[in-house]
Amino acid sequence: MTNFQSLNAILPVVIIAITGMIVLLGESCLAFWRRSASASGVVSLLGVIVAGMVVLFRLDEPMLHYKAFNGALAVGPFTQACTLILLLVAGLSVLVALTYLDNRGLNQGEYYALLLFATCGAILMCAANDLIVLFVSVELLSVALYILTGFAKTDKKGQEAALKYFLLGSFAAGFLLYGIALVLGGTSISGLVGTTNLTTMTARIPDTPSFMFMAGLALVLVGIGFKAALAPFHMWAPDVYEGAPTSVTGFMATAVKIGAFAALLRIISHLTGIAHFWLPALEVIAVLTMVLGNLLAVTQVNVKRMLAYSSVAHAGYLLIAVCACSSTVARPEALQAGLFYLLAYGLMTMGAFAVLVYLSSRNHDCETVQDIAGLVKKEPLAAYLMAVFMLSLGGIPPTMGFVGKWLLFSVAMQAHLVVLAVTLAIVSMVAVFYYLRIIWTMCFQDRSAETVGATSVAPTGVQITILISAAMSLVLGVLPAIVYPMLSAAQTLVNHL
Amino acid sequence: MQMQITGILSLLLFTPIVGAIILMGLPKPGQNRENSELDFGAMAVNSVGIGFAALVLVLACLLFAGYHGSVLGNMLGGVGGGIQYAEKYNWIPMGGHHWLHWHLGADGFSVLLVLLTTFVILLSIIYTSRKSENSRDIIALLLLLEAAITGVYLALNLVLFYVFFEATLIPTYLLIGMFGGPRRAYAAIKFFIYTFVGSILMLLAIASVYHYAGSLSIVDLSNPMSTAYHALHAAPASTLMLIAGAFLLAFTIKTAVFPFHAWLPDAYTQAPAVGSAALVLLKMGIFGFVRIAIPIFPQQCITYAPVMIVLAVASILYGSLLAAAQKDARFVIAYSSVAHLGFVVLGIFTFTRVGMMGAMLQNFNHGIFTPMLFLGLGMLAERTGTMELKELGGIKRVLPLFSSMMLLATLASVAAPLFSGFVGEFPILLGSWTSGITHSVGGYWPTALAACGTILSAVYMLWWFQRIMLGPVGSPRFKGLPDLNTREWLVLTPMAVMIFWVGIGSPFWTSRMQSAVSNVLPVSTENVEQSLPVSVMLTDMRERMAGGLLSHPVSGFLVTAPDYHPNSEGNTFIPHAPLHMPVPVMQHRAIPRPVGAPPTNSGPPQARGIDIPPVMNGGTGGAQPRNQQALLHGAPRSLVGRSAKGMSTVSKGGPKTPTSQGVRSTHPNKNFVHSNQGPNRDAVSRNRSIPAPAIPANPNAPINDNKMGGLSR
Repeated sequence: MTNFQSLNAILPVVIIAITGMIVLLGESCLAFWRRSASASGVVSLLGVIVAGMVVLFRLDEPMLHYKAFNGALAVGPFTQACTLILLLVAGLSVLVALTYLDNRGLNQGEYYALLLFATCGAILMCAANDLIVLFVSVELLSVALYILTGFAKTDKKGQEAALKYFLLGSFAAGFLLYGIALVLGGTSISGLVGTTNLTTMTARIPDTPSFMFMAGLALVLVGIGFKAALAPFHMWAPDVYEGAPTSVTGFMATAVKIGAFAALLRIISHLTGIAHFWLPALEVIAVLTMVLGNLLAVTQVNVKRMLAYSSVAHAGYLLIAVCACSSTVARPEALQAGLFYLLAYGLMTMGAFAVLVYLSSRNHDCETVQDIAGLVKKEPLAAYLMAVFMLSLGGIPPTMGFVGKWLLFSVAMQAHLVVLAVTLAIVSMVAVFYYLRIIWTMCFQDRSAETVGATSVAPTGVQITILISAAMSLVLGVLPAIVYPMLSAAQTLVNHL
Repeated sequence: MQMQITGILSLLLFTPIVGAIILMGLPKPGQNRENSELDFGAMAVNSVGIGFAALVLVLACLLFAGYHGSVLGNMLGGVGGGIQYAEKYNWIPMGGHHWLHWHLGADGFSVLLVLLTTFVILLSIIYTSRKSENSRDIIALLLLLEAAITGVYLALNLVLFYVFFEATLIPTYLLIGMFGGPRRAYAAIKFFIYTFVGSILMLLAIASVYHYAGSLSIVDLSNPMSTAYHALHAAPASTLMLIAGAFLLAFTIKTAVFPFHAWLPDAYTQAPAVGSAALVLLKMGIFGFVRIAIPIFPQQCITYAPVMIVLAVASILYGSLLAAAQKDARFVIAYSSVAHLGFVVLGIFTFTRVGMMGAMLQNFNHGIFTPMLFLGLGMLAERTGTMELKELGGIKRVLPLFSSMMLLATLASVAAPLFSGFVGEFPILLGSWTSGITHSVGGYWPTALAACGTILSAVYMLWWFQRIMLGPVGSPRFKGLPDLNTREWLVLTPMAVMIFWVGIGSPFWTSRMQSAVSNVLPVSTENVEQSLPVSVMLTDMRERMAGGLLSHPVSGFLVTAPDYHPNSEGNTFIPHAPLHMPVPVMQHRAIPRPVGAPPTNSGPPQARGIDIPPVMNGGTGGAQPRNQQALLHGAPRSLVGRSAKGMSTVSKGGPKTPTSQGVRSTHPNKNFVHSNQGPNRDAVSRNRSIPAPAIPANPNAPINDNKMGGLSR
């Protein structure tokens, strides 16, 4: 590919990045822009929609089967599918923010710009076929998120969360970079210069890889595991999720996870030859993540914190798909299952946070279970839709979460990962307890004095987000075949390694 | 040219969902109370709810009537065989062009259970239609629940089955939790978690089935000729036991059998009255046994059967005793449900066709009289405001019509003859008596203990009735309470009609289930105790039927036409008699011993508690002594197989003439025997029993068929 073709191939990223810059410049330069409160948001939304259209219209272009920028970026169907999921999440986040920022009186322009840059980073993480590019895109995503976490400048909890996230994130970035360096060293065998390109690396892996290479991979895993909040690298997640503004939490919980798991799936798919080296480690991490996430979520009284632990647990579920990639038989299904679960997870988590945003008022974020007690009396629709998201997160039919969980069960059995399947079954029982407790609080308890009502600002944006998420969770729970073209795209990742 | 309408099952599933969505879009009734005499909101909600539920009931009636390949059935896509109205579409992609199918179909069990569900839900919605405050939400949840329950009965794919199985949890959880009694939240979450624990293990088991068999189709997996079945059963034996155990555990929890019953009393009593009625409709556990567990894992289920029988008997006794000890009227009914469901499980795991038929019929009955009791208690609670048995009393003086209706339901629960409970419980006990598995558990004790359960049911139910309805009026404020109004009559009358219809005309209800029962329990799986004299006579008698010598079974007053469908075992030369067990039994009981018949000499049948009736065959009268001993002690081989006339001539010789004729032809259970034992059975049991019946197996007996594997030894 020439450079122009390469740029053309990553056109969605380019569009998002340019939109972000327009928003940033418009906010600071144009006076009329400031008068209309939601101009930045609308422009961002338009950018996301255009980018999404571009992806949709070019799903079948043969050009996409090549690597862009000399093999640094894979722009194949897998990337396209991840991009679509990420753009959906980004669009929903913008809609949520339209209400939330207005409500809280926060600055507008920077927020959307940062959100769009973070989206760029996440998309590039999905596309990265080179560990260096992966590192750069992780940083692009993370730096934007550090700022977003502390976006409410007067909120002490937000500041603490931002600092914590920044310190731990930088530490993890160090691990990632050091790991990449070790991989570079480990792949320089028989006089060849080392490589960080995944495709080249695959060709060079001997049957028994060197210690340096394996250590490098382990450190890369630590770096990505931190971003994906896998146990034992999950410690930051609850504090940061709780402290960050709710609209940011929703984006952080979904976009980062999608990017991290897409990267993990891509790296692991290149390493099936040495699966026996990394599979036990990943299995242990998966079991640990599932168990810890679910057990810790049980005792939480803060809904955001509970959702943070639940997102840790879901990272464990997703790791099953990653582990199943070790088996060549199950790999196509595993990639599909992983992608489907990412989409499901994105929708239901975004929906749940959107409901919390909907219930937040100017000076009070809706966070604790007292805030939502007896909600069904005052806001029946919000309560019922929250119930849909909780049931979906718990994996109860007929929601999307169930289909995702079923696909995970199925690939786990196909890849002979019985321990993981049994763990998934057991922790699902624990999980359903705390998801049900939310429904129980909302629907069965009497209203407490603190129960919040809907926001005073016209909550159009967040309402649209909730409705889209709920509708998609239910429709795709009944008719998952709608996204079949996207799912089958995952298999072509394997065909075009 | 015939018009074919397909998709009736999907229509049946989605109609209530559409109704629920429309309902949720309507305004909440009773919000503008100023003009309360014309509450258009309530009218709209009620008419939409009742209209959709009635529409679904009509569809269910069509299914029931069309099952059998009648003209109606053909129009609705019904074709012969076990499964009718099948629909199959691609649903969830599994990768590599494999699909999870949206596969629906109905067999004999399904059509009956779907009819039951839609019937009771319609009545529950009629019952709800007055309470204006929450009626919109309750009716919508009931419609959603209806869709989920019927989905379970119609699903032919394991994952689809699981989806509906779980989907029932959500509306029930909300029904209990939002509109229930004081401890509703606790009851709701307990119910949810209990069931979810079982069903998530079932999901794991389903994934393993897919792993081993490569198929999720219930039709394929339960067909012993299919590749999927063979692939599944090629798995290690211990794994298969685990998988089958997971399924059984899930269904046992859902059925609320003894150690896993703890959710049931709380859920039943804390739910609102319609919620209790709807909870009773959760027959998915029972249905899972006969649709999934036994057909897919026959050998594993036989291995587990003794455990299940012990648990079932424990449920019967424990449930009965606890029911007798309760202070709250609803708890009595809840614990009586544990006992009744124990009977159903006992009937299924006897692995006899008569037991299973009785179990499925009792399952149906329980789904009618228990909701009737719960809805009646709901009406009572609305009037008196209490469910404490010691505060109630003398209701019959205040509400005479209401208490008469409740008496019907009580008697059905007690299993009094003519009422529906009897035709369900008697075949279960009979099946338990004849079952080899029950015998392997503890001889006659399980059956004897279970039979004690019927006595106990009389104890607690009649006492319950007495404490509520009879005696002095419990409180002065009960005086002047209004008796049943039109809406309540509309709810209770259809149920009362059903109780009598099933009690008297059971063949109408069982006829649809015959093919299903014989498919679930083929000859190779059936397990009848061989050493029992009753078994000997029954098989012997069947052999005579095989010769065409006794061309008609003893005609009861409600015996239907001979069976229409080909014998599923390829048993073509034996006329396949209908399996409507209960009727001949009742008829037999009703006919007194002919005057002048000599007293029977007490042979083993009497000694073991089986009442051998007087002769009822072909006008030969009751003159011959029905000498069972003679049969047992070596009747000449040549006698067997002679014509009835010839036999009776021989037997006229006197009491000591060896004959088996009277015994054989007059047993009340001939119908059952005819259809539940294969031809090879006859050969074996004849060769085995006549020369030396006490010896369980005769090694020299010529076995000319290889289907002997599943018979008990």
